[in-house]
Amino acid sequence: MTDQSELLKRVLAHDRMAQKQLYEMHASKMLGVCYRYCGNRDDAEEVMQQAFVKVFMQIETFRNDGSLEGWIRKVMTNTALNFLKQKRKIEFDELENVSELISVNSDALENFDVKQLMHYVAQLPAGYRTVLNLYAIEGYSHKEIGQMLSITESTSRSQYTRAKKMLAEKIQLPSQYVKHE
Amino acid sequence: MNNDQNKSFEKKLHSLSVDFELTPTADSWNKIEAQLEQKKKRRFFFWLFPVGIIALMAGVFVLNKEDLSNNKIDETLMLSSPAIKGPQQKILEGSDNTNNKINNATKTDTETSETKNEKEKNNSESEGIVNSSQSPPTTKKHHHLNNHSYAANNITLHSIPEEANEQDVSEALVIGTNHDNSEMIKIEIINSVLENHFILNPSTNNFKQIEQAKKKSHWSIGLSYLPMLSNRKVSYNLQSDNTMIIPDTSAHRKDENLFNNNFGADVYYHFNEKIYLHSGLYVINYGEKTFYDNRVYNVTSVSPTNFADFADYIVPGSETEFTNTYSFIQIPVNAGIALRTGTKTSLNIETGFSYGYLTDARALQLITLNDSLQIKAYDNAQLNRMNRNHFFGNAAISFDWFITKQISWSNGFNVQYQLTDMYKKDELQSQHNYMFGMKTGIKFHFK
Repeated sequence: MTDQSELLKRVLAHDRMAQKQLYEMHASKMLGVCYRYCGNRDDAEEVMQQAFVKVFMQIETFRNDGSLEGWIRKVMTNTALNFLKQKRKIEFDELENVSELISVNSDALENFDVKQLMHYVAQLPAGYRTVLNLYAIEGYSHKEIGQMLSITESTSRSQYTRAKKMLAEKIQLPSQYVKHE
Repeated sequence: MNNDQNKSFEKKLHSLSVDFELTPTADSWNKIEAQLEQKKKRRFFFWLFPVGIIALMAGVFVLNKEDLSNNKIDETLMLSSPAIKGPQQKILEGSDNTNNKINNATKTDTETSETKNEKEKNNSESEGIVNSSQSPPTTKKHHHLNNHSYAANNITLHSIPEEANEQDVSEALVIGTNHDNSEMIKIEIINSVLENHFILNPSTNNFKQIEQAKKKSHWSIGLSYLPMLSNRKVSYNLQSDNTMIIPDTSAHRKDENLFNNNFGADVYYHFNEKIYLHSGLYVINYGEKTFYDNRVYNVTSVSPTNFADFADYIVPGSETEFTNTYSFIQIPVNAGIALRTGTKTSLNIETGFSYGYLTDARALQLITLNDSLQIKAYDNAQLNRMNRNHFFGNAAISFDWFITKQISWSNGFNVQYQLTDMYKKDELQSQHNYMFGMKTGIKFHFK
């Protein structure tokens, strides 16, 4: 903790060695975050680099009352979303009222290779992938996702449902569709 | 049961994915470092600009002061002037006028000179030519060449730049002697715009323009009207409360640029004919007409505002139209160059920066806070929530047309750029503001 405070102080002073140290501490994990959103390694690296530049330029805005890693992760997420918006990679299908939700067997994910799972996530359409990441992995609510992506809450829900269904099909999970009123 | 299975799947998906790692390529850090260096340089150059302008102005001021104290040009010209047997010149109304700035001067018999000058005047009026083979003058004198016919007939005016005519020749100043003690005459060609100095070479009767030995400084004041179109680009940075939600306001808000009327009082200090400083006091307004889409906005967080009719602007579920306005008192500090383009015109190019103090605001701001789109209203009641001090970069080009020697009409174009954070509390919002406009005004020159 003291080490982190010391490191943060040096990063705040724009010490290049400290910046590199912070980068090395978090780069692998953050590249993983960016990859989940971008779906390919090249874009993920570009986004991660942009995001780290933002982190170092705006480190003053980090209030030391939360986790630095959590803050950096949020910067990565927002940079990835902006990147996808700018490149117009996110398209949300105009789905009709999706009344079907998928119920999946979670046992299928036991001992599942994470790289293979990420490969399947990367293959999802960008809109599905983004909502899946934000909801299932980052823990945002559909309302928040709607605000972030300028879509309605119900669109976020339906995108998530489709994403989950498609992912389940890819990992060949036995799936069961349940109609909801 | 199904819900439980869903939750279990999501939980496992989360636990598997959240710590997923990939090793970056070896040069990834180098690329980040390069971008950081680039940003650092940009910051440096951003600050270098106003500092450079101030340094330039200070340099010009110091150099100008030195030039006034060391009248080296005359001396140089004297030393490099060709030997001549005796000046052929028309000298009228010669008078003593000791010029301490001119070196190597020797004394002359002023009384004799004046007497002779008087005779020469009479001769010249009848003959139009004078041969002053008398002993060379050794003091500095002003000789007023008020006989224009002489100037036209006996001095080869064709060697004077076209924009000068005989009526412009107002006075001649003996600036020293050649090595054979013949006089060197400096002629001032006065016209509406600039005061040029020429050297008369008596052996050829040719004028040679020289750099003005005495850099005559003067003040001028003016009034300007600047209709300007502003184009603001707002970008949002990380929120200060670390909620880190970057709103995509462009999806909800459309802007329409507006022309705003701006006025100013100008003060100019001309170090010489070419270089000047420009300051003054301006009232600058900018803003835009905004259209918000027909969403339902959360207006509960709107600060107390003086908008009596504020509720009319925010109609839940309908398109909202509003004109944002920001007003500033601006003080420009520009350095400029005046290039003479004709007898009565000059082209002025200037650049610098302005300090702007926010005096008035009336704006709606669309923001996203955690879970809702919100509109906040700002007006003069919330000025303490806004940054009052702002800086603008300036550039302008204008033509001055001299109606008389003292009055000129100025027309041109003006560009301003502002990079600023308008609001200091709610979020970190960077604003790039470009303003383009015309400028017309009148200047009074105290020459």
